[in-house]
Amino acid sequence: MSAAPSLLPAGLEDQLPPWAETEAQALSTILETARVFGYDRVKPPLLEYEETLTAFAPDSLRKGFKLADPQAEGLLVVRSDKTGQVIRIAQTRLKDEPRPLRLSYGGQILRAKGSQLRPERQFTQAGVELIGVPDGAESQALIEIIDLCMSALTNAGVQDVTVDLTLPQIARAAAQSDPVLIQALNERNAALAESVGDAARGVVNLIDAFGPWRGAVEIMDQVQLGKDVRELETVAQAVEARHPAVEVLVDPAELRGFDYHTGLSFVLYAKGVRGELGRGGLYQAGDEQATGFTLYMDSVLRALPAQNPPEKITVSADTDTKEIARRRAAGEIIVVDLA
Amino acid sequence: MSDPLVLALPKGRLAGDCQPVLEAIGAAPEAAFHDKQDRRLRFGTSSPEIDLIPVKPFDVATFVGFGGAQLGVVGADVLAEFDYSELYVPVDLGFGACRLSVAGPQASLDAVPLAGRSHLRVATKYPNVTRKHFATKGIHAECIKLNGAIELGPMLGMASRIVDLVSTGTTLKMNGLIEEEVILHSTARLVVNRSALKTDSQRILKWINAFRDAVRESQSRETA
Repeated sequence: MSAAPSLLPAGLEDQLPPWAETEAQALSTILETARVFGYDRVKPPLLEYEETLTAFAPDSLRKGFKLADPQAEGLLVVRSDKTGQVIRIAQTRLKDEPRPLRLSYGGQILRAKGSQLRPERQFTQAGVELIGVPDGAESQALIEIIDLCMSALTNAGVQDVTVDLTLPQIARAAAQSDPVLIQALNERNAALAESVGDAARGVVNLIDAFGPWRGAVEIMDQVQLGKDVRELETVAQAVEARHPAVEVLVDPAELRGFDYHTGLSFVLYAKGVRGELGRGGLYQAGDEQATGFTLYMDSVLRALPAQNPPEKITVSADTDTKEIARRRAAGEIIVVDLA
Repeated sequence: MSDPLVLALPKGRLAGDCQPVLEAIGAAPEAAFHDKQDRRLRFGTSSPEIDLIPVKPFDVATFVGFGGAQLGVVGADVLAEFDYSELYVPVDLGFGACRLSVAGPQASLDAVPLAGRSHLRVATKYPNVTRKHFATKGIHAECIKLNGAIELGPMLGMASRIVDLVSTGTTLKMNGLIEEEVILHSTARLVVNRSALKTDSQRILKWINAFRDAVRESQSRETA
C-alpha cells in the first residue's frame, strides 16, 4: 500500500542497535531492583475483553486499540496501560494472597492515538504496584515506592532526576469540577483563576505554592492544608535523605493524568528530557488502598547518556573453542570469523 | 554556569510592546536584534542567562511546547488554538489586548444566518478555535485555513464568515465586514515549558517572578 517498503504506521518504530539492547538492559535493571525490594513479576496478556479491562481501568477503552474477536463474540482491547491489568490480577486471581501484595511488570503497550508532543504509540512500560496498604501506612508505602523508583533509575544510569510531589485530591477539591478552574490549574494560570472570583482562592494558593519542597510546605501551612501537608513533608524528607542527588519539588496544582489517584502522588522528570519519565501515587484498587509507579521506557532511554557501540573481538575459526568459551564467560564479546 | 535560557518572542503585532518588559526584567536585547539587515536567528541580551529567538507568533507556542525554548511571549488567542499540554501560562502581561471574533459582510450575515444552520464555511487562521466555538452551537464549521488577508475570504465568495483578531475594528470596517460575535478576549502571556520548569525550577521561577514584578510595576504606574 505504501511506496516505500520501510514506511511504518505513525508512532511505531524499529528499534536498532545499540538502543534495543540499551532499553532491554535498562528494563532488566529496573525489574531486578524491584525484585530485591520484594516485588514478584506478573505478565498479563496483550488483549483483554473490553468489559473486563474497563471494570478495573476505565481509561483503557478510550486510549486502546479495539478489535472484534471472531471467536468469542465481543470487543477486545489492546492494553494501553498495564496498571489496570495488574489491579485486575490482584483483585481476582490473587485475591486470597496475603496483603500487602507486591507485584512488578514490564512490557509493551499500544495506544490508539499519539499526541502532538508524544507521538509514540507503542512503547515499553515498566512498573510496580503495592496493593493492600494498611491504614496509617500510606506515607510509608509511598516512600518505599519512590525509593524503589529512584534506586531503579539510578541503577539504570539516569541522572539529574526531579521528583515532583503532587496532591491531586486537594487540587480536585479546589477546582470543584469548574472547567475554568481546571484549565487554570492545568495552565498554572492564577490570573484566569482569579477571574472566577472568591471561590478561586484555593486554586490560586495551590498554583502559588509550587517550588522546592521546604518553601512549598511553608506556603501550604499558611493556608492550612493540614494533615496532607504533614504527610507530604514526611515523604519529601525521607526521599531526600535516601537520595540526596534528587531534587524534590512540590506542585500541588498538578491534576492532569491523576484521574484515579486519591492521595499523595508524584511525577518524575530528567533534565533536558521532553515530557515525563514516569509517575505514581496512592490510589484505591476496589476496596483496597494501593500505590505504585509506572515508567515510560522511551523517555527513560532519552535520559540515558549516549551509548558507545560494544567492543567486539574477532578471532579466526581455528581458535580453541574452550578458550573462546572462557573469554565469553568472562564477558568479552568474541566473534568467530566465518571466512 | 549552565546554558542560557531561550525566550521565544513573537514578531509583528506584539514585538514593540515586549521591549519595555525586557528592559524592566534586565534582559534588554543586544543592538543587532533591532537591525533588519542582521540575518542571525538567535540574539543575546543584557543578561547572560537569557537569549532571544524572534519567531512567528504561532511558532512561539510550538517552540515552547516542544521545549526548544523554555520561555515565550504569546497571545492568548494562539494558546487557545494550540492547547499544548506542556505549556504553563503563569503571567498575564497585560499588553496586546484584542479579541478573536466572528465577522462577515452584512449581505452574508443576512443570507446565511447562524440560527438553524448545521454547517458553515469559515475563513480563518484559527481552525481549532473556530471548530470548537461553532460546535458548541451545533454547527459544523468547515474551515478554510488562510495565513493572512483573511478578510478576502468572504469578499471573494470563498466563505460567509471569518474568524480573526480584532483590535480596533478599523480593518473590518475598511473591508465592509461586521463583527458578529466575540469568541475570546486576548492579551499577551508569558508561557513556560513544563519539564524546563520542573528540572530548572529555581532559575525559571526567578524569571517568572521578574516578569510578574515588571507587569505589576507598569500597571501601578498606569493607574497612578
